[in-house]
Amino acid sequence: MTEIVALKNISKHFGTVIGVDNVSLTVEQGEFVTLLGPSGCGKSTLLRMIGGFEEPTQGGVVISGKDVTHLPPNKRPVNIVFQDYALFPHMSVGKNVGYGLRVGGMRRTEVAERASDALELVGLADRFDAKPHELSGGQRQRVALARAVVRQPKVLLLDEPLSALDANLREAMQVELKRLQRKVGLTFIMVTHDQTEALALSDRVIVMREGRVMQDGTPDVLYDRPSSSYVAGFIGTTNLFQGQVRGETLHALGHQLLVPKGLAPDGSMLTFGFRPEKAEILPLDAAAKGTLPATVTDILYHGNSARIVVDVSGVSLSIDQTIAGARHGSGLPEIGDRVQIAISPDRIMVLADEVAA
Amino acid sequence: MTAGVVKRARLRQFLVLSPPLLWTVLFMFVPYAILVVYSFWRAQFPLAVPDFQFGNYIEIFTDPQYLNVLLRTAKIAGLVSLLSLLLAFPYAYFLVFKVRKPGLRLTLYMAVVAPLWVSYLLRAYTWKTILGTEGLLNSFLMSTGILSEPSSVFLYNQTAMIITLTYVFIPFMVMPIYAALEKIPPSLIEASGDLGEGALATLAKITIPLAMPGIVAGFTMTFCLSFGDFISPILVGGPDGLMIANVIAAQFGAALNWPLGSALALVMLVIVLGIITASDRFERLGQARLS
Ligand SMILES: Nc1ncnc2c1ncn2[C@@H]1O[C@H](COP(=O)(O)OP(=O)(O)O)[C@@H](O)[C@H]1O
Ligand SMILES: [Mg+2]
Repeated sequence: MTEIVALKNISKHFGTVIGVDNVSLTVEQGEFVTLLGPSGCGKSTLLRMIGGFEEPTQGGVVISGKDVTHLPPNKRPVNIVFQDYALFPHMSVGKNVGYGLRVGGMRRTEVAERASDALELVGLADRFDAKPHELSGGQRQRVALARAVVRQPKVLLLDEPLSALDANLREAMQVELKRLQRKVGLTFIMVTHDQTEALALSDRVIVMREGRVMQDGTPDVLYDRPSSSYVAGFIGTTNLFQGQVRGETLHALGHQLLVPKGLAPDGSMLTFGFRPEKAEILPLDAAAKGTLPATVTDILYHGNSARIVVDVSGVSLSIDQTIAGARHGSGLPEIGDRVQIAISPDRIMVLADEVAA
Repeated sequence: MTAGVVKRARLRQFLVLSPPLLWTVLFMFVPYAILVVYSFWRAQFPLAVPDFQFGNYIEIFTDPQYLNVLLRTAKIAGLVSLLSLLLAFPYAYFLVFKVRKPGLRLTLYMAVVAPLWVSYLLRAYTWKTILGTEGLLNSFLMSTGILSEPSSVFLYNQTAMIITLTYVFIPFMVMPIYAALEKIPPSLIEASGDLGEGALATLAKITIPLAMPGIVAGFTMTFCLSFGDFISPILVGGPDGLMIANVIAAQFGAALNWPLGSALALVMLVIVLGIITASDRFERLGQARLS
């Protein structure tokens, strides 16, 4: 694998506001990398520094082995799809897509040819002469994609490319985006605040918070082994609680749970967590070791599954139970039922950064 | 609804609308109608006699004197508009795209627009004092040693008029261009750069075409306002600086030829209305293209 983008300790300050704080990361050729984080955490600023729209206060940007830190956007081998698509309203769809080809001094006929090929790629070959305002949101999005892809950039940057679309369309466009990326084999760096989108599309997700990188990993690593309660809370739902490990026992919530040996250093108070679908609800009478007695407080029905909210020693935990797979009894418990919770020992996560006082 | 209610609603509507309606009829349509009637009369010193003949119009279009004044007026108005555009566009561009602090941007914007609250006469007069023999420009050039004695070349000529009119009317150029530039999403300009174009090409292909409605509106306003101006020729213009409005004023004054004055006024009105209509058409065309 070859490294295509390298950010070296870059920071961006806007006066006293710190947009990006000392971030280093690399992106490999052909990868689909997503910057994920809440609004204002510096994702766009980081992306804009790769595109050349912001100059870093500190650090450097290397693209394809070349230091481009101080080059303007038109001198960089990358293209961006803006959040608002930024289609030129006074030009036809075809002219928009061909805009970046004229620059290289390409002949008019060839520009038109390539532009219509690119439109074909996104399924809009018949809208060549339409004006952007005549298109739907999803179509504009695809024109913006075609306009960037047609230049065959080394890296395609996408700033919240789907956030302006409504929910149904967004899902369809996710599929399309992934398909396009496979087809053209480009390196994609996408920004989003939507964790489902990030997990669904990316080879690698970089979770950001307040200008810094919190965790950098594949979607399954982020889901199964989040390094902090922040990441655990941001990606999917996580039940968090405090506890102390002694050997193979975790003392938490006033009870004892079984954990694998060496999960965490003995004796220190740490934050632990588990995903709602990694635990099971058992009737209180079933004999089991290392379970937590609990009271059902809420049931949220989701069709093929249900989220059961229980109270364990005053801490509220969520447990997802598939309805077909409810092995015990007639199915779901009822509000007020006394039950016990069994958590698979190897599914308990240590969120080592959060040390309780 | 009963007929009575409808009637009362109509009456109320009429009462609300009648004062402005009366005002418009009395002070716009009636004077214009009088002008139209007069323009067909015949001048017979010291009076005008009722008639219906085209002699006044024929005189305007055959006597080179009037055509020359019209052309000169158009030339001066055109140069004023052009100069205003060349100054206003970079200024508005700088304010919208380069000044990041909103407070500073507003201050700089108001610096251009605020003079509109000062009397027009006073603003035009300012340039008389700047350009005159005792003026600021002469004192400056003398104090720096470029001139040894005050020069009178700066005042009482067409250049002085163009400078004065540009100063007086430039806010009308800055305002619509500023508004048009402000409406352009910055991402469009960034996208042009991202797609490989440099700053100049982006200006030519994206910024100026999208600002065109503002440019046309500004050009129309400064042109029409300068076209009808008659103060600055009096204050800072020389013998070669008479504009059409001065000639019209003279017909109603010293020359005592009201019919010719009326005909000239109507010709001027038609020209200005023609320009406004054309610019309006253009703007609508642009809107249809963009919306
Ligand atoms: N041009 C700018 N001027 C001042 N502050 C900015 C500018 N751009 C971004 N910021 C600030 O930097 C931080 C990160 O912004 P941004 O990268 O847009 O976040 P995100 O895309 O994650 O929502 C925010 O606090 C934002 O207010
Ligand atoms: Mg953003």
